[in-house]
Amino acid sequence: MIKKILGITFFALLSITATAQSKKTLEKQQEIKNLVWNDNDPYRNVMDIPENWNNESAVFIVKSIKYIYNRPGNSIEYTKIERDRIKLLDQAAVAEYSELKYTEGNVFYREMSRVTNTFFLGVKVIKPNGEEIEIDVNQESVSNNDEKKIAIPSLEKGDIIDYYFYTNTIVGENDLYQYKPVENTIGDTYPIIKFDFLLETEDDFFINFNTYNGAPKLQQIVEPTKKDKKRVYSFKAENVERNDFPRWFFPLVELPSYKFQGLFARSGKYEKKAYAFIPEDVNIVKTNVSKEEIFNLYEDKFRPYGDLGDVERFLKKKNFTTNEEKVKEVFYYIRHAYYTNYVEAFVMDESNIMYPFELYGKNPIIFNNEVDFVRFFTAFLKDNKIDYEIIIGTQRYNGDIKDLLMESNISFILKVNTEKPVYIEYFDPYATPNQISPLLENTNAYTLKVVDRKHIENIETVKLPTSTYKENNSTEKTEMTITPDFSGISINRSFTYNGQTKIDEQKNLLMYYDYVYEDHAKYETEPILDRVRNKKDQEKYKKEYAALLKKLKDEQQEKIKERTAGEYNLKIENYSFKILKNGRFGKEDSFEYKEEFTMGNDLIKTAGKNYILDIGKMLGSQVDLSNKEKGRTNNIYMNYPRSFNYQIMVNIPDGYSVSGIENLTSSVENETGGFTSKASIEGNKLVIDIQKFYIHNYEPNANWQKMVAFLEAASQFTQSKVLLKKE
Amino acid sequence: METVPIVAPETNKETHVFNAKINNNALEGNVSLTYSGESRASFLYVFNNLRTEMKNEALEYYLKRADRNMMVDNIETSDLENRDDQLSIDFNLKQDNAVSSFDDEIYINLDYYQEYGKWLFNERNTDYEFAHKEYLSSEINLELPEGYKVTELPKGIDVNTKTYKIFVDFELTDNVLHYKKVFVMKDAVVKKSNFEEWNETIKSLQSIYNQQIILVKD
Repeated sequence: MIKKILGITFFALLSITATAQSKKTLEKQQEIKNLVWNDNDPYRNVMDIPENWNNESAVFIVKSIKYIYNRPGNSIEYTKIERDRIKLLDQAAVAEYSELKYTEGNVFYREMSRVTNTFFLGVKVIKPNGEEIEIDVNQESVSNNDEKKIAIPSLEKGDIIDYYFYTNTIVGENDLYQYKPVENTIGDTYPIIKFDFLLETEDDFFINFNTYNGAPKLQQIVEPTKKDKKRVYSFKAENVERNDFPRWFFPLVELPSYKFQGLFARSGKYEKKAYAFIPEDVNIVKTNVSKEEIFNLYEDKFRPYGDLGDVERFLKKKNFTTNEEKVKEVFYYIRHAYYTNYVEAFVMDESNIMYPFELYGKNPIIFNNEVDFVRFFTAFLKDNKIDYEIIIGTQRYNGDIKDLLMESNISFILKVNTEKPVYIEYFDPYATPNQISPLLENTNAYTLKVVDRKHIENIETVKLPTSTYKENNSTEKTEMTITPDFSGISINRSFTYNGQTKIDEQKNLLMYYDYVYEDHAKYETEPILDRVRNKKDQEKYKKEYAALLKKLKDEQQEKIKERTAGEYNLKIENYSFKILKNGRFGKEDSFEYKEEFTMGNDLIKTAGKNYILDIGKMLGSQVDLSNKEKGRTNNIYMNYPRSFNYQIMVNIPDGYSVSGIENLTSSVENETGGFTSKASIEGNKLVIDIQKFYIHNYEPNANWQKMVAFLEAASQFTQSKVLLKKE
Repeated sequence: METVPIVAPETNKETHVFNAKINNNALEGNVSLTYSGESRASFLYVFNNLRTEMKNEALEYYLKRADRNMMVDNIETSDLENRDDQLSIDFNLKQDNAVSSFDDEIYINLDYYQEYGKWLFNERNTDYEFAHKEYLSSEINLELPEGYKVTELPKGIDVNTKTYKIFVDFELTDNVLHYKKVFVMKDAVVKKSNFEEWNETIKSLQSIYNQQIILVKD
């Protein structure tokens, strides 16, 4: 998690791997081929597609996914076989599949455990006359990070491509092992005639599985017997329409989909140790995690625990008027002491300037997960006799909490019951009390009621608060000065961000060095290089670090410049920016920065002795809906309610006046949001004030046209022009 | 051994004709496009690579250039599957926000495509090769509204060298403004030694593109 905040980019490695095949591998390859493409394959001769899909780009004749869990000897084995047979109907689909892209499935690692990963693929092309051409999969593949590609030559419209991906992982002797969860929609970007899902498992594998949003339910097709404990489950779907994945949408909430997770536990003892939401009996497929189950599992999970030495030292020198204030201050202290305090160390290590970790002495406290953090923070609360609850939520794109299936879909929030409640979530450099993830806002959740500040006694349902569009605000002021010869424009812009918008922008724009040193100063901790005892070493490292910092700062400036240029879709020059205020200490603490740059005459057009100024373009890119999007039938899921205030000020060139400011007036407001603009002449300045806002984070499809109305008004505004008239 | 025959630019001719009228803030009217030779091949290549379920929208999408201001309908084409005959496309175009009115004057941004307008070779060190010998003929015929006249017609360009020809002309006959452009890349290449001359021509072209047509009350 810490590594995410570093701005160092790693370039993708492009490599060509010639695969030398051993005899054994070739034999195995053949074995897998016979597993998939054999005489029992019901699709081996299917070539037709329904007429109503003749105008599609391509159609899946079959999409089949198979998971197999078994135990060869003492190991545990996982196999996934995905098989697709697709008829390609147009040139675009042919171009898409002329390079078959794939990743070699999940690679499971576990410390001190032997793991064997195997991957095979098979591809054949079937011509309209039935001729089958098998592609040599042992040819060179090109890889880019995890993704590989092989060429499929001579594909034409009307061909069928039939391929499978076989992934196998064997983990050595193991008592307990949890596989990664799988969450997918059934549909794909092309329609599917037949969708087949199959799961086969031996004893000791616990399965959580469910389907959603009208997808067919899982059926058990093979029951275990005394002799053979194997179980087989499946579900099938037919004539699945293509999925459009529009903007502002959470597919798993509305589209037919399936989710599952497997867990291996060798015996009863290990089942308990699993400490996970698994079925009570291995032969039952668990379809849901209920409120009661969460209570039972988490009753003991959050015992307050942590070494509060640092916190106590911090509190000693302080006085607080309210507990609320105390809680917030301790949170910020911990955010530094156990997070931002370490950041430079990771930078030093990754850039190989020096090995930093021994400079932190003893055992630095690091929170590896949310639970560790909650336990530590509640230890502080208990010590200071402050009451709290632990909220269990699930992010909006997962669906409602009552449909919870897997622990990985759970998020925790601490609700501290001070005079006014303080909500605290797991931290990153920008975490702020009372600012919870927008993906948890306005959701149904469960709360674990805590008694005596340590015993979890009960669980209730609760609704999480939501932020407002006024709180989540972006305010921009732009000042434009046209050069006397009208060959260009110089621009100053200032930005102020608040609320959820602030957090997004901090993540987009700030680098660790923009705030780490301010934290060090505030909490009187040492920047890491100051800890280096040897003076000569320290000097050497500081020099190298200074060079690295300069490089990072140049990259940061370039990135922000490109973002601005992208907003206007114009070339800009002479760019510089400055962070004025980081805004990391409280919801009311705004993030502010400013920038300056020049542009050419792209927005100025000669009109005889006058000039036309494309002033609307200074609003930047607005959501521009295609006809298809305007006819959207899905509900609308946005990150958070938000508002944007813009002020554009143009210094009117000497000897000119402005005509056409009535073109700059616009007003569309309704229950979903709005766009308003007005303009006036103040002295020698043209001043335009604009507001755009989205009132909710969710709108039902019935309200879509209301949103379209103000989005169109905003888009139309970008076309506004004024005349600079020579007097 | 045989030699590959040399093709004259006319074989690759592309023509655009837009007969337009002013409708509030828009230029509206009928457009006729024709493509032959290499220009036809270029068009078909792009068109065929669009996904089928978009094909109905694809042509519309292509003609609009993904610009919210361009609305097209009533599209009629010759057979797009035929790679031999001249390809023709006819449609109605509404080009929104091309016209602005301030006080009693009308300002028109007449040329949307502004072909070759960005082709200054300022930093280039090697000859520039075009995809093929391009031949483009474009006409925009604007019917002026009643009661208005053109204040000033921009000056045209007439450059004809061994390797290229660029011709731009404005003419007013009756009540129609004829804006004609012809671009011929005779050799499919602009040699580095010709850059200076080429750049001068392109700058004049840019200066025309940068100007609005201004109409005032009669």
